[in-house]
Amino acid sequence: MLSNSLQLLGNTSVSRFFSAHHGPILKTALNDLHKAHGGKMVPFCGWEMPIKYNDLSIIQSHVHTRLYASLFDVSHMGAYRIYGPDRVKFFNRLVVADVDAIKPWDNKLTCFTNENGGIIDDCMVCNKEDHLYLVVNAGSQPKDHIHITKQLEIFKSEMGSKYRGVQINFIDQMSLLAIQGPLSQRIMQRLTGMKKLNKMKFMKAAKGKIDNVNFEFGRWGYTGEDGFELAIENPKDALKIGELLINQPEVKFAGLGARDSLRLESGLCLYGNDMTEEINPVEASLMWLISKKKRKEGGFVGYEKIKSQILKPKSVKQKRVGFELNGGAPARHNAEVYDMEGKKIGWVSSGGPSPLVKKPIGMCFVPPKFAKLGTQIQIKIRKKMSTGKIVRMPFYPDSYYK
Amino acid sequence: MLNKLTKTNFKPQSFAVVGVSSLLKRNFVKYYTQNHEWIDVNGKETKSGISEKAAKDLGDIVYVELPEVGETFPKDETYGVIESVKAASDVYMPVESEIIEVNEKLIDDPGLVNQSAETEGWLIKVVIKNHDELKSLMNKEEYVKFCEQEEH
Repeated sequence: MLSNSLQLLGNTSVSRFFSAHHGPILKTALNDLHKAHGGKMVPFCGWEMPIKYNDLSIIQSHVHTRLYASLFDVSHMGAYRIYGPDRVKFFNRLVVADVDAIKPWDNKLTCFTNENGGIIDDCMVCNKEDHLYLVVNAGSQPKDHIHITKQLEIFKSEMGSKYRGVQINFIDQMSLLAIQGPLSQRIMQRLTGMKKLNKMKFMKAAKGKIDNVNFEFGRWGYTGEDGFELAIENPKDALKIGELLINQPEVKFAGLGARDSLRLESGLCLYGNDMTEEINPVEASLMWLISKKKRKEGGFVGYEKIKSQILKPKSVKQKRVGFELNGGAPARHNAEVYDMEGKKIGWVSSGGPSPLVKKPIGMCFVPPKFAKLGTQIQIKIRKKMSTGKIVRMPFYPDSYYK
Repeated sequence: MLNKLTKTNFKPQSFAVVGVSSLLKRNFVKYYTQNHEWIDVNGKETKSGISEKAAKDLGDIVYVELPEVGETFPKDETYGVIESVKAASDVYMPVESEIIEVNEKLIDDPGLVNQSAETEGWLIKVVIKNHDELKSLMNKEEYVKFCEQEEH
């Protein structure tokens, strides 16, 4: 299995894939900086990442992000640049978005599907004019890569003599730094000198420069707040920019702990919890990811298997919804959901405390008839039933710059 | 010693006799366990909770599950759960005891354990059933050393 995978990896950095599963732990360009700032490092998907920092608790970091600005090092995620005349035609087969409709420097959240229509990973695709820029999750990146390269072989053989070329470049040394929070624009304006940043809308990308370092960035994130994600290819430059960002008076470092509590509060899915290969986009309440054209015409892997559910969404056996408990302990992943009569109806995919809603919140999968807002439910936590109800997401209002 | 007191002409006030007998049993010592709990042996005011170190390691405590008053737990048995942002952690009984009170303040303010784990953030008040088991616990000095060794 491993040798097959290595063969498919082609001209990419084999060491990173190997490390992610078998080798020594990987470190981002900011590793020393995290430690110097009191980062509590933990292994995560083969990387040494900060879960929190000494100066703030996870909740304090969460609140700081919503009020001011936090810096997240998300360099563990996988970044690709896909070139070639057939790149759009090829990539369009792999995701549920209309890749051909993405305007230059626009970004789209989408997902890869498997032959059953299940979700392989969620990802961001950006049209950078002469190439597609792709970011995938750290944990899924090795399997995403195998999937993409395998699909390329299929595409090539189907196109035959009409094949004009696709080049998949994995950017091994890419650093991704996310600045998130209401003060992000102010900080970026100060550092880049880009006064027109107030015209850059959510999900748009652009080129930037800080202290002679050129980089690309986008107005998005994973916290529900306004913010930017900077992509810097040279590790030394990434460290320089990281230091400049953390030295801004408004900014505090935030780790994986706050990243998870923020995304949950904002109703954002986590791959591996709320989306898996066994869950399709309709069940995951992510129908909006599938373009209107693809809902009717297909054109992505696994469409035929989920076509009937796309056309009749209420026919799914389970649906992802948000819940709020009346009090008590938080419900966690895999906790059982019951109706008020005590019959088991579903399961919790993500759960935790909400610093701002001040109730335990989470996402669960239940049959469509229980998915209505306000439906009373019970969740079994350590042998006791905890009552709550189905609520709208996001649990806390988001602040995307639209 | 008690016999000598009662045989002389000296008539101690009754509370002094009671004071002496309880003095014999009492020792104002705080013990620590390898699971990072503490038990402050103090007669009817014997309290137990988690150490400052444990509270710091857990991070923000969002919920505390406490037992029913009247229940007795053997040494090392789970009597409660402390939930932090990321996970739930069991709390273990340091020595066999009966619960006589739980810290009700923690229902509305679980963060009190983070603020003051070894005083205001106590979890339970107990009556110790087996004093011998205290011998296996550590004093503050021993606990500090134990923590240092654990780090390495």
